[in-house]
Formats: sequence, structure tokens, C-alpha cells
Amino acid sequence: MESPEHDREPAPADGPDLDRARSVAETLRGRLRDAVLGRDEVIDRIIIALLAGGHVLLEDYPGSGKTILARALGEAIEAEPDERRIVPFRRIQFTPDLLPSDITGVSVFDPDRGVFEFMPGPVFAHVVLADEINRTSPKVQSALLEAMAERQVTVDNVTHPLDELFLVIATQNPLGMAGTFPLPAPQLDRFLFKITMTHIDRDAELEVVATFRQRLHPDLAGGPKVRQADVLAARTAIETGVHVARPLQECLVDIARAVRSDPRVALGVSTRALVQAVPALQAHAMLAGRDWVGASDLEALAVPLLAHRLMLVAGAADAPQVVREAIGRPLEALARSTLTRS
Amino acid sequence: MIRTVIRLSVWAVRDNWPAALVLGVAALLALAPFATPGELVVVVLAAGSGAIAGTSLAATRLRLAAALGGAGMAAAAGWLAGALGERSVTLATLLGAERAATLVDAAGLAGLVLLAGFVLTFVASRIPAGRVAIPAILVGAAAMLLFAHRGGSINRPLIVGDLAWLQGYHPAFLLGLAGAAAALAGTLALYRPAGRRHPWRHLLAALAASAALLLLFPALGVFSFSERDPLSLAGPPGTERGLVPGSGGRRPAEGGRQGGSRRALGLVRPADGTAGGADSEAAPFLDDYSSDGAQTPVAVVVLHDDVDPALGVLYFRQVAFSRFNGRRLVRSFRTGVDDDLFPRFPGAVPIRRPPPDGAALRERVPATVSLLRDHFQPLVLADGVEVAAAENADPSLFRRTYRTVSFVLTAGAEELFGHRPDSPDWPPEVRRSYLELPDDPRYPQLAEKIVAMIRPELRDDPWARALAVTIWLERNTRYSLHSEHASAQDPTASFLFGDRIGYCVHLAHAAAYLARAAGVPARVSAGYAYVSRNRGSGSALLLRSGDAHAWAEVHLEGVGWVPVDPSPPSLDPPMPAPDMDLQSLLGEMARGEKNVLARDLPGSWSLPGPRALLTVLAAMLALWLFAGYAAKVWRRLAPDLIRRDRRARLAYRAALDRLADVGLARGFAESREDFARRVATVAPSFPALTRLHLESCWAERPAPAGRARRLTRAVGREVRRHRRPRAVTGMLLPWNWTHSR
Repeated sequence: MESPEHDREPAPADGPDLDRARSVAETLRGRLRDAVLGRDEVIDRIIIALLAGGHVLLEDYPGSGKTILARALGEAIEAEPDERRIVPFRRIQFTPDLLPSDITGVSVFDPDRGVFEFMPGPVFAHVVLADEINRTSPKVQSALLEAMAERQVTVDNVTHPLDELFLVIATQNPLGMAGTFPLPAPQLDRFLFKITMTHIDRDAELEVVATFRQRLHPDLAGGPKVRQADVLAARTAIETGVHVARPLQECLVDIARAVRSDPRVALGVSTRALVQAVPALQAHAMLAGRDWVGASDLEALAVPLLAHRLMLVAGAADAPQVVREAIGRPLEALARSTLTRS
Repeated sequence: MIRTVIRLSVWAVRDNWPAALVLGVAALLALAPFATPGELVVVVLAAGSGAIAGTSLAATRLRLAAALGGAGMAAAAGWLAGALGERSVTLATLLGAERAATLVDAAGLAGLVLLAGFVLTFVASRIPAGRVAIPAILVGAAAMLLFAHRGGSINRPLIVGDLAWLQGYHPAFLLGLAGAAAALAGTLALYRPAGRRHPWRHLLAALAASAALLLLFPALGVFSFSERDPLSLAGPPGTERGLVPGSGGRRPAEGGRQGGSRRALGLVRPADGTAGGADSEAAPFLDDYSSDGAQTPVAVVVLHDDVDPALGVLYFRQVAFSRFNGRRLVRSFRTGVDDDLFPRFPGAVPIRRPPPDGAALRERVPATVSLLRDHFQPLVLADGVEVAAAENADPSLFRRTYRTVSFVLTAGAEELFGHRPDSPDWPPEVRRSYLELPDDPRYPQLAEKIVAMIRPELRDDPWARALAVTIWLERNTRYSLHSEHASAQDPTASFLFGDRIGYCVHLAHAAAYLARAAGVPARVSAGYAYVSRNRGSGSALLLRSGDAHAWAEVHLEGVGWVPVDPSPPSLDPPMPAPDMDLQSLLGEMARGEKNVLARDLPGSWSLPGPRALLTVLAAMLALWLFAGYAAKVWRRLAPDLIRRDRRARLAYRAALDRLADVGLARGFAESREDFARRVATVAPSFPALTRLHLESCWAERPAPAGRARRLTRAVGREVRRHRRPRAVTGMLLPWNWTHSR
């Protein structure tokens, strides 16, 4: 039951920066929705991750459109003219025999000049699709994860900064776990979201079947694009323009504590997760047309933000359920506090 | 059809047997001290069926109010059917009087327990707080079983029991209260509220439910808190006019009921001892006996030996009437008739009588009687063998003191079968005198009918016939001090073949005539009857003018005179128990103990009685209602009255109250936005108000109070338009604002 007045009412104190951020998000959203049908929620999450400077782990089935999604996102961002090295989009297929240098890049001897020259690897892109990340060895995984955390790679003792946007969309296949190297919980902690995708609904699937010929060669280069600087400006606008009230910060911390105290949880939510959560919540609030973070943002993002970071004790399997149970009490206290605070 | 019924019942039993088991066990525990084995079986089955019905119907869509209303109507119908069945002659002739009575009783009991079980389990399944009730009842029933120690009479525990008796309480009440409190505490300790909402309300509800249950017990007749007289002996106090001389036409100057023992003592100053009054006028037939002054102390009896009399009643015989004078039975002066009486007070020489028959069925009890009022004949505990003068411990208080030795009948009713009706020593004219009765064919006809109800093998037994007469009178007459037979030629016939409402003199005459008509020698005795339980743990008995009584006696060979005392249901309010302080105090004075008055009297404080408890409950209920309404009204008016910067928040709260009135409340952990979306169909303005409220909270911008209040009023209008009936009832409920969160 959508109430028009509730959702569309513009926030009165919106600054022009926030308006621009919203138009950036709308542009991205439009392009991605054109590219992939029936994945609106995933698209919103990925946009949030982009605006919050986090990375996304997709758990889905083969052939669900994740490559198209990642490519469309990469293509939608226009590189700055001087950033020649940066390409919009790279895909890395992770295999057991992959080496770290296949990701970061390698120094090659230039016989003409007699020096080693750094050849950038696929991580030097706006959007990197790390396909089936659990198929490769931990050594390669660590290389990627370091790049994700530090936003730089170090080759031959020389540090090369990555693109400021640098969004990794990693995927892992829930089926066929034989011969894989599952990511341990501390590694998963570096992803902002884990999004478990389900099959799209009937109408959307029908639409895909009906229009796949037009989509076979999509005009990804055309249409409105956003510039890299716009995205960076949007990040700043959200960070400063969306208000996070003290009770909401308290509620976030309380949720984390509730998750940690659950007997089914062996390793709980890190403080880093909470630090990452704040910009995500702000971005979510901005997408919902508000300049303040509310309980609904927490409610919507708690599971994708927290569930993949938990290590459960043997016998417990349903991490999202643990999170859903843990948020009840803090959210209730938060809702009640609006009546008692003067 | 039959298979459907069988399948339905199998389904009901399979899913709901734990509740049935729990309630059955609770009923067994609670009623074990009171009921016969047959009744227990009935009660357990009924409780189990009620529980099954309650739990299975609670799973359907049946509304709570409908279920409770249906149960109430069923109770009313059952009560009506029971009342009809009790009077039904057809049923009695079909099944026999006793079996019919048993059937009606059992059906009534079963119906009551079934309904109680149904209501309890239904409520428990529907209302979270009701979940407390079932464990509370189980534990409470176990506690009651532990504390039901022989009706709390003479036996221990001393400390609690004596304290209770001194306060005029049945110890079982206090102990049951303690048990209930313990049960409640245990239940609350074990209770885990299912939801997280308002556990304090569950606590209060459980307390209220327990209090209501406690008050329900006397209503169900399970046991009485106050010392009611179970035999309806409280009574027809011939007292001031008949048995006590010097008061023939004049009432002694009395200041009403005693408020405390000291004042009561002041009331019993010896009057000017005018003696007199013809004793044949004792125990007269009167239309209206005033029970004023029924509490006036008449005599104090100190028992020198413990005794547990038959029927639990101590009879103090003063006179006996066996001669029929054409209208009623009067005192016989024939030699050999009623020569076991003591017609005068002893002088220096004790008066002795031959010991009664049946020494094995009797117990020797010496006693000292101190009269507070002049009597023309000594009152002697039946059956007396010796009366001797004794020293008056306080001549300023007691009119006269004498010692008696009695052989009190202690045999149970079952030991009295198999005796011949009269005595071989009686000459024919004496026997004839004990069988005289009015020349009215209806007496023998009725007697024949009553005898025909007896089982054939017992039909010839005189005691069986006397019992049958007692039972018939108890079933078919009503006790009242206000009757209309005094002007009739034969008041007894007017009573027995008329409206059957009368007091003990009517009943005693009717019993004597019917026994005589059935061939059993009988007479009417008058004096005082004292319910042995009222004695408490002490040995002193306080006889009051209201204890005056007339009862019939039948004579059995080898037993002697046996009281036949029908106690039909009473139409009058019961007589209160004697003042325990006064009773023990007078007992000590009669024993000659000095300075009793100088001592601190126990019981200067007293526990509240059931009436006071009810008053307190009513006051609490009124307070509860008032507090609820006050808070409700305040919450509605606050947005217009309070500080401007808080108005928007209070306006939002007022809108929540409006929604709670129609049963719309935010669920646990439901966000305010979700709730707003959920109720948007009923109140389209509410999402905007929610948005305004949340923005003021989370963006920390003051919300426009005027807009908030306008939206709140709009919500009120929309709620009234969409849910008009609920809005009206919701407005009347005092506490539903606690649902708005």
C-alpha cells in the first residue's frame, strides 16, 4: 500500500548537492534497469554500494544477468579524460590456476628504454566483475581483497592507486562447492553487501525472452551517462547532506550487540561493518527521497549489510534469520523513543 | 452422521488431551476433601470434557464474547433445570427419592464443573493473561488439598488455626489464602510471557483472576469462608418469649448487637429475675419470629471432655413434648413418659437419672453450665444422667451454675440400623402416648408414601424410616422464620400439606407425626442446639438466644432417644457464628478465672472479611476505570494544551490512540512507516502524519504543530467514518490507549 503523500513528499531542507546526487542515482538506475530486467532491488543495492564506496558479493545462479549488470554500470560511468589507464569495466573469471599478478598487473621489462614498466591489471577499472571468486586460491583472493580494502595495489614495491570509484562485484555460485575455496568470514567482512539473488518473476522473465534480440547488442555506449566526478560529488553530498540522528546510531550499535550476543553466532559483526553501514544507510535514505536516515533504512539494509559477516556455530545455518531476530528489539526501542523523547 | 461425530470427538481428544488432563487433575485435587468418590468421578470427567470443549472451540472462529455468553446461558438453563428437577415428583417416583436427588445433584455439579472448565480453557487459549490461570489452578488445587485438614476444626496447626478462630475465620480460609498466594507466586515465577508486550498487565490480570476465583469458591459452595451454620439451625428463637421466662410479653432492654466483648458483657447484666411462664407454651407456633437479639448470650457451657457428637450438633434439652392435645404436642405428665428430663434445678442433692441405653454408642461428657439468663428448667446436654449444683464463679454475672454429666450420642447414622423401635420396659399406655397423632388421614398416607421410597430390605427398619422422613422433609420443605400457619387448627398440617415453609417447631412436629405414623415412637424436644464446629479449639460454648431450637427424637431400643433434625434449605439469611472472643472470655469467667478483663484481649485487630474484600475490589476497579479514563482524556487533549514544541509529537500520539480505539496498533518491531502503510486504507491522512513525526525526530527539525494537529483531526474523522461501531466501543474502553505504541 504505497501512499503517494508519504513517499513522494520532498524533504524541505534538501540542498542542491543532494538533488544532484539524486539525479546521478536516477540516471544510473535508469540505465541499469534498461539493461537488466526484474532486478530492481539488486540494482538499488549496487547503486547504494557505489555511492557508499563499498563492494558487493552476489550469490546467484549462472546466467542471471550479472555480467550485463556489471558491464552496464561500468559503461554508465564516463571516465575523466586524463585517466587513460582506467577502463570502465573489467571481468575476471576466477580459476584455480589464477595468479595474483593476473589481477594486480605486472612489471614488464621494456628493452627499448631498459626499464621495468608496470602493466596495470584488470582491477584498474571503475567496475570489476570478479566472477566465481571462490574458485580461486586464497592467495589470489587475498590479492583482490587487499585491493578492495586499500584501493591500491603494490607491485615490486611500487604502490599504484586504483580508481577512486573502484567497485568490485564479486559473485559466487551457491551450487557445486567441490574444488572451491569458500571465503572465510573475515574476508567476507570486506564486502558491504551480500545479495542473494533469486530467479526473476514470471513477467520479467517473459519480457527478457521477448526482447532478447534487441538486448543482444545493447547500445551501452549511448544514452545519458554520469561522469566519475559526479559520482564522487554525490558521495560527498550524501555524506554531508543526509542526517543520521544519534538514536539511529545507537540503534545500529544495539543491533550489532544483539547479533553478537546471539548464542548461534560464533563470530559477530565487526566495528568496520558499522562504519561501512552508515554511508550505505545514508545512500538508501537519499534514494528514498529523504535527507534523514530513518528506521525503515535500517530495517531494509540490516540483513544484506550484516548477515554475510557472521560465522555461525555448527548446526546453525540461517544467518539472515539471526539478523532478522536481532533487529526486532532495537527497532522497537527506536520506534518507542520517538514518543518519549521531548 | 455418527461417524462424523466420532471422528470429531477423536480429533478433539487427540489434540486437546493435555488441557483435559490438567483440569481433571486440578478438579480431583481441589474437591478430594469435599466430595464422595462417585462425585469425584463425575467432576473429573466433567472438567476434562469442559477443557476439551474449551480448547477445541477456541481453535475455531467463535468470538470470546459469544462463547462466554453461551456459557452463561447454559449455566442459567442448567440452574433452572436443576431447580425443576429438585421439585419434580415424577423423577422421584421414577427413580426413587434418593436416587433422583443424587442424579439431580450430580448433574448440577457436572454441569457447573464442565462450564467452569470450558470457560477457563477457552479464555486461557484466547487471552495471553489467561494462560496463567491453568497452572495457577493446578498448583492452587494442590495447595488446597494440603490445607484442607478436616475442615480446620479442633485439630492443628495451632498457631494459624487458633489465630483464625479468634478472628472468626475458618482456618481453611487463611491456609487456603496462603496456599493460593504461594501458588500465585510459583506460577508467576514459572510464567514466561509469550509476547513481550505489557507483562505487568498480565501480572495484574493474573492477580485479579486469582482474587475472583477465591471469591468464587463460596459462591460455588465449595467451602464457606465464614462460619455458616450448615444445618440451618440458626433459628426460631423461641428464646425471649418461650424458653426464657420473664420475657413473656416484654423484651429486655437491649442495645442491639454487640460491637465488642466488653460492650456485650455490659448487655448481659442480670435482669430482675421474674420467674414464670407455663412451660407448655414453650416453642410456640408463631408467624413471624424476629431474629433481633438472636446474638444475646444465654448460657455458657464448659465441656470437661472433648466430644464429637453425631451430626456435629450438641443438643441441650430442656423440655420434651409427647402428648397430643388436639392441636400440637405438649408436655406429658404421665408417669413413665419423658421421665429422662430434669424438670427442676438441683438443690443440695444432685438429681440423677438412669443411664440411657446404648453405652457403646455414647460418650460420657461432664460439663458445667452457667446461666446468663433465668431459665425455669435446667438445660442439660442430651442425654443427661446427673445434674448437681456448683459454685457460681461470678454471681454478679451468672444467674446460676450447675454441673451435669451426660452420655452424648456419638454413633454415626449407619450404626443405628437394625434396632427395634421402642423399649421393652414401656407399658402399653406409654407406648401409645408416643404414637399419638392428629386424626388426619393425610399423615399416614404421606408416611406410607415416604416408607415406600425406602429400599425393600430396609423398609421395616425404624431408623431407615426416620431417615427417610428427614430426607423427605429436607427435600420438600423450606426453612423460614416467617410463615403463615399459627392460626390454623393444626399448624403442622397447614405447614406440611400447605406451602411447606416453616421453622424448626413445624419441622419437629412434622417429623414426629410422620415418624409416629410410620410406627416409630417419637417426641419433640426443645432447648438449644449448638453446632460443634463453632466451638473452635476451645472447650467453652456460648449459647445464644438464637441457638434455641426444637427437634424431633425417635426412640430406638438399645440406643435411646435419637435426634431427627431435618434441615431444609433456608429462605432466611444465615445466623452469624458466635463471637469467638466473647465465647472464650465467658468460658474463662465461668471457670472462675480472675482478671480476664484486665488482660489484653486478643483480636483487637481483625482481618477484613469477604465483604470488606469485595469493597476493596470494587474500589480498586473504580480506581482502575478512573485512571484509565483520565489518562485517555488527557492524551486526547494534550496536543492543544501542552508546550508548543511538543505538540506535534503529542498530536501523533493522539492519532495513535484514535487508531487503537478501533483495534489498529503497531506490531512489535513493526516500523512506523510500515504501520502507516498498513492503516492507510482506514486513515489516509495517517502516513503524512507519520512522515511529519519521523522527520521531526530523525531529521531533528521541529514539525509544524498546526499541520500535525490538523492531520490528527483528519485521522479521527477517517477512523470514525470507516469503523463507526468499533470507534464508539473503543471510545468507551478505558485502557485501550495502552495499545498505541
